[in-house]
Amino acid sequence: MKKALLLVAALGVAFAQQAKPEDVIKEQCARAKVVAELWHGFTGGAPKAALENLVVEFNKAQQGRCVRPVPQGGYRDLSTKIKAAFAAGKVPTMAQAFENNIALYLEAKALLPIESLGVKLQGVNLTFLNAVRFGGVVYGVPFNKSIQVLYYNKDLLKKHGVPVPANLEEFVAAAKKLSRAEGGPVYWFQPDASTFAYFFFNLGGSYLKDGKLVLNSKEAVEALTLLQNGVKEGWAKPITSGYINQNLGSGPYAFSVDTSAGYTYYLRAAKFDLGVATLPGRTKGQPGYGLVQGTNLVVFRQASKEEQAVAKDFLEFVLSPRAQAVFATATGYVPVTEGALKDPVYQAYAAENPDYATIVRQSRYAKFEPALAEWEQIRFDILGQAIKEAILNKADPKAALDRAQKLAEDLLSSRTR
Amino acid sequence: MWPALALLLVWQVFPTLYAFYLSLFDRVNFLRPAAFAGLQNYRLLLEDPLFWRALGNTFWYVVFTVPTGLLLATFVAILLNTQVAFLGLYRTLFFLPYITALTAAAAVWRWIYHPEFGFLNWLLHTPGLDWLNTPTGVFALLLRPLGVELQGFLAGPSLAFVAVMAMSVWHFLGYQVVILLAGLQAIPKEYYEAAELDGASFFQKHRLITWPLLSPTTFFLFTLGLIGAFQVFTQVYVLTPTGGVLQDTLTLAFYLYNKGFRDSDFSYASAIAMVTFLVILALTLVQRRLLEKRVNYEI
Amino acid sequence: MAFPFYWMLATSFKSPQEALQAEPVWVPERMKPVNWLKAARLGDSPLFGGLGPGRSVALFFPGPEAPPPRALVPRSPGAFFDPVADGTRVEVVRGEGGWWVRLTNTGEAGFRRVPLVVLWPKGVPLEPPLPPDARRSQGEYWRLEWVNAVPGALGYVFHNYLEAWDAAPWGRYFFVSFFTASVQVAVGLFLAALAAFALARIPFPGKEAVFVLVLATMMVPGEVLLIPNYVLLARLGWLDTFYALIVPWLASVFGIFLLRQFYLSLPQDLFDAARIDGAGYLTQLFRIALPLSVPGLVSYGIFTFLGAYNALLWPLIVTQSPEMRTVQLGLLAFVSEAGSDYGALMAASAFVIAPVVLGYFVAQRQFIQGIARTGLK
Repeated sequence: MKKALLLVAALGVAFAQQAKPEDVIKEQCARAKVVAELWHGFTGGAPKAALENLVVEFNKAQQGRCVRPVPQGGYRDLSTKIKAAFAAGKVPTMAQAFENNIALYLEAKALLPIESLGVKLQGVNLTFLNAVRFGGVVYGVPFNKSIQVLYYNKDLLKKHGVPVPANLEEFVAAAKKLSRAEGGPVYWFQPDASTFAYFFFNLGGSYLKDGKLVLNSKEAVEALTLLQNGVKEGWAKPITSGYINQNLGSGPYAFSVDTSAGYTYYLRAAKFDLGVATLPGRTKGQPGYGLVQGTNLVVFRQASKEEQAVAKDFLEFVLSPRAQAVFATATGYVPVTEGALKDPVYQAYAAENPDYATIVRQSRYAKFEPALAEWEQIRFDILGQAIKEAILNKADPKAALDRAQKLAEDLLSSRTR
Repeated sequence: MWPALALLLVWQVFPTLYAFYLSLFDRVNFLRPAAFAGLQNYRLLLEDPLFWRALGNTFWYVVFTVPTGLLLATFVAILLNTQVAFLGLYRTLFFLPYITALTAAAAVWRWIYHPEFGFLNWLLHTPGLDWLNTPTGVFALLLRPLGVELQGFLAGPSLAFVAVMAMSVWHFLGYQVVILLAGLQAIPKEYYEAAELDGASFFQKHRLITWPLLSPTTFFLFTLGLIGAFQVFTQVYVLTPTGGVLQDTLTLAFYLYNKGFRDSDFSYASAIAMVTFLVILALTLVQRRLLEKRVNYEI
Repeated sequence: MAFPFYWMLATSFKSPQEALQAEPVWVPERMKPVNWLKAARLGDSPLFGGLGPGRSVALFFPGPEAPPPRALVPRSPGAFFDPVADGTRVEVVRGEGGWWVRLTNTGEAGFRRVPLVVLWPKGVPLEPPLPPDARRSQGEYWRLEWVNAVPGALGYVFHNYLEAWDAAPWGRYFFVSFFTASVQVAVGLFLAALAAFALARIPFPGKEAVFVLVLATMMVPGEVLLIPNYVLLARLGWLDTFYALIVPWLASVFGIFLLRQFYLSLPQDLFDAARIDGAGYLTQLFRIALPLSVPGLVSYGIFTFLGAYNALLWPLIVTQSPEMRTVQLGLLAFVSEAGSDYGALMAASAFVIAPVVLGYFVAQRQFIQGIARTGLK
């Protein structure tokens, strides 16, 4: 008995724990005098692992200082916790924030301008940078920005001899043909504001008209009607439970328009050969516009001077070419600097896997959602509901969007909560 | 006894008053100072479609789960009260769901309800039926083949919500069975023997002897169930974290959580809390009035 | 009634692809004894597996000479430095009637887990040395994945449990849960006993008023207290500490009423006799009343412990950092983290409910009686 116990103990000692990044960071920060907390909304998978690996690498070079990433649940939970932190007066040093979150935090003047920290922003993608410019001042560092791309089933398209669609017309035609051939809808989508945005933008729509938020424009109704007809005609399938990649395997799948950040998840879930292409746009010559999602890193004014210094170094590290290359190739997020694309690690990955190049190409055709403080509530509770009502409850698209417009106006003018 | 009293005052009495105080302000979120607004939050609440939806959903939840759970539990308790072999085993079987944390139980049930790979759809040969994401009301579903189209509140609780209710009934059954069993054991055997001599059937026995004599216990469980059902949160939150596809599983507590902790409007959430309190209070008083007369406290 | 438990356990032994099947898999691969033997053959130790420094393990795949399979050890995503992937040498060598995939640990530390990916040409019949955890199409090949090529028998069977345990600091979560629940029970009992005794046995001015007040608080639903208590805690700076998890629940009206019931039922003579002997109220309480009300104390203890251990909403709003999470919050976070890895999720659910279930089996009678007593008003 004793011998067995000794053996077990010896085995336990001999096998070094493949230290998880979380544990390594805990160790690094236990020895540090200055700890800068970074609150994020990654729940798991490649993005969380990639962020933690980034932090491990950064902390290695720091004496007595460290960054500690704290997962706070999903993005909505994250913004909830940050608002709670304001109430308690214990705000972290850095956090992920969407553009509309930034607008909200600026109401309380809680953020530090990035350039005032001394972080150099040359070489950062201008589209992303302009999205975080409020009153001409940059308040966030684009961190995990994703772009929508077209995921497709190579095996299925090859089987039926269908080429990858280059514009919306071809896309709808291909979806119809494949659905008929396979006996089920092959274009899968989530009935939410993100999918809607793709069709909306590519039909020429825009959310802000003369500075006013318009949800029920002609293009919006057209986009919603297109989706609704897709379901009716049997070539589009609404996915209501979980992400699209979590449902793969439950029927014939050919296309979906989804965030590039889902790349690793799709790869893991697909039993077929997965392809990534640029989005079908209005014309054949140019890829369609995709919605930019993902967050930026912000620094809070309440942090101490030492913590702000750590934040500055960390942000510069995050923007360095190697860090961007490793992070982007691990997750499917878009590298936010030009330098990253020239980094040898990135080029090696891109050579082996052309999907990365596709994602970067698509990121040149990008559009954003409006950066209003109330946008989070509007996109989920108002616009999102209207879309769901039209797709799932077969409501009339114009009526649903008109109702959404009224609700949004009431919210923005404080007539409702 | 002062420590306990002090704690009660601080954490239970004053907060109730503070909640009312908070609800009189305009959008308290601690990010910036809030203005006094009087009863504005309550006025907005009355016109808020989502609030009425939450109220309607909670109403259906109470109406469905409290009587059903109680009747089912009574039936099971009666059966278990007879000298059945493996009594201990059955008792454990029923009690186990109650001690299982709601979070864990909800995780397992969520897996069972999975549209593609869940066990329930395999059992019923209904692949692809998305229990937790079907917002159509069950009454509407049932009556649609007959050509009747029901909308809104009258369509009944959604299929998703019924799925959540099923899980709740499963969870609380054990607790109610245990308490009912204890109550049943207080009824003297002679009554049943006398009834049998007179030739009473199973149903007559239980309708005329068990039910009236068990009434203090059932009344207690009914009140408890009512108050608890109005505050349901955990199961709904874990099974349908978004409150249902069309907000069809949104309950009052869930709406309160959303408004207070997600959208950071603490005063509006406090108003919701106060209204819920008043509703529960009203219902409890009504219930006492109507039903207490029928409860026999003597044996 | 108990089916969900069986389903939870069965799923906790399945690999992600096995769990996600339209036709339920009744006996997962990990529960078949023939696979235990296969797994025991892989790795340094038959029970725990692993790959020590300098050691190697070889997996045999019967198959024809051409086309040859390929093998690699996948890197952890976004890692600048992956000791397992970088420190394992992979060789694919032709043997008799098949291919040997040999993995050698060229590093200085032992590896507990070595993931493996083998690209097997399509159209060639496959007889793997251990059933793969995933199989997907990749161009001309089938991509076969093993989460651990050196599992050992126990490592193989309980893989989901190990993975779930490693995925989050469950040890800390369990500590937080047990600590808060125990303190709530212990201190709560003490306070409730004091208050109940006073209400039952000690005459004092304003007793009626206090009684009515206590009764009134029973009517208030928990939701009303949620936000004010939260704000108070925020102002006190107690958010995200044990104080927030414990203090608001220390005074329990339920406990006071339960114990008062007991004390009222005790005959007055006992106390009169004690008073004549000169015993003060406290002594009366501790020497006489408490020992006689043990069933009530047990009842309160079990009920409170269950409530504290299973609580979700309150810990959800008062904690911010992962260090202060209870097991319920850990499980809630895990529901979204695990995504479609239902095997790991079920494993996590299993060990979250395990302590309470074990406790129940050990003390069945007390449990049932304790709960039954809460029904007696």
